[in-house]
Amino acid sequence: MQGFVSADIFERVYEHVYPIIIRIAYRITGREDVAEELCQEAFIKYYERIDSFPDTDQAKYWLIRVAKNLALNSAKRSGRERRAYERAYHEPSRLLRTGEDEVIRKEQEAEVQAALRLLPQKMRTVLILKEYGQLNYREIGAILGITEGNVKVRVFRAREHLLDLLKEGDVHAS
Amino acid sequence: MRPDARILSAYLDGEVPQRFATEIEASLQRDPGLRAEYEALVALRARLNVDVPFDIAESSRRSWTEIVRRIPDRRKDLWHRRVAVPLPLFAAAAAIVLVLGGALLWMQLAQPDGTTPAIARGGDIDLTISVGGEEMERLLQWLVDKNMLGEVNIQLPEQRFQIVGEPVFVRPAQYEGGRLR
Repeated sequence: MQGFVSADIFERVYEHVYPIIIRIAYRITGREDVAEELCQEAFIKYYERIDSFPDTDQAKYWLIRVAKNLALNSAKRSGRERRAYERAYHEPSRLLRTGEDEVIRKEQEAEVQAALRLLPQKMRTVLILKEYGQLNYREIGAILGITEGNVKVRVFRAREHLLDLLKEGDVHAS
Repeated sequence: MRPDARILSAYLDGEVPQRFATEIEASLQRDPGLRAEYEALVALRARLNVDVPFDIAESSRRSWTEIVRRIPDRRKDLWHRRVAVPLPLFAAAAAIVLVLGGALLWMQLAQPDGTTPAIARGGDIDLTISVGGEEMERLLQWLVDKNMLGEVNIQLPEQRFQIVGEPVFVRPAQYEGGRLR
């Protein structure tokens, strides 16, 4: 990759955007290894068309959009696989307990993931972009192709929905 | 006026214009019910903001190594890239290259005094060929046979020959079978 201006741009975008998209991909898929793989795929796609982005902001929005789509597709696939596995063995997946702190941390983590999973996809995506993507409404709108007003409504509804779920105690880490 | 929950959510995100933000802050101070709603949103955010359970920097390094390994060398890849060029543009470019190439060739062949090029005249060509012994004889014979012998200058090695008298012009007709007629 050396010897090209593009390589320098690529590295700068990577440094800035990777921490954002790995968090988003993880919150959608719930798996570190899968999230990493998806981020790598997104950056390789970006590298292949690096010259077509007028500035690094556009590259960032594009990368977030690609990572988000890859993660949603992956989550759908793994959701189907998990359900099939659980049906076959009648055994929900469990956390590995290796120490009190670790258990608490994992339970909190699993609770967050479970709560997010309960949201309808449109609400979940917009809330993940807001909470983990460090993005404002305008940027989220640019990524999802919707208006700022629409982003505002979806974020609000997602929070309202989550509050209801947590109040009713419907969130169980599985 | 009491702000609704949607405005509170936007206020939490810092997405409310400053003049409304001041009003909302005042409402939060005087309305305990509204403050409770807002605090519920803040608590929800805190609950969601559990960071990922792995080291982002380490993940970034791992992914970078993998990406660099998977990306092919761009320089090698240049020759395999597809480039879409509109046909009229391609034709125009080809025409320009032909015209410029022709003009350049003409300028290189033209004499400094503006006369037409030597090749175009079909005239003299200076050619230096190093041959010796029997090859020289065969070369001269071949030139005679082809009726191409005009003027031949032979440079003799000075150490082995002593120049006696004046140089003599030899015409092709005077030369036959390796000797002068």
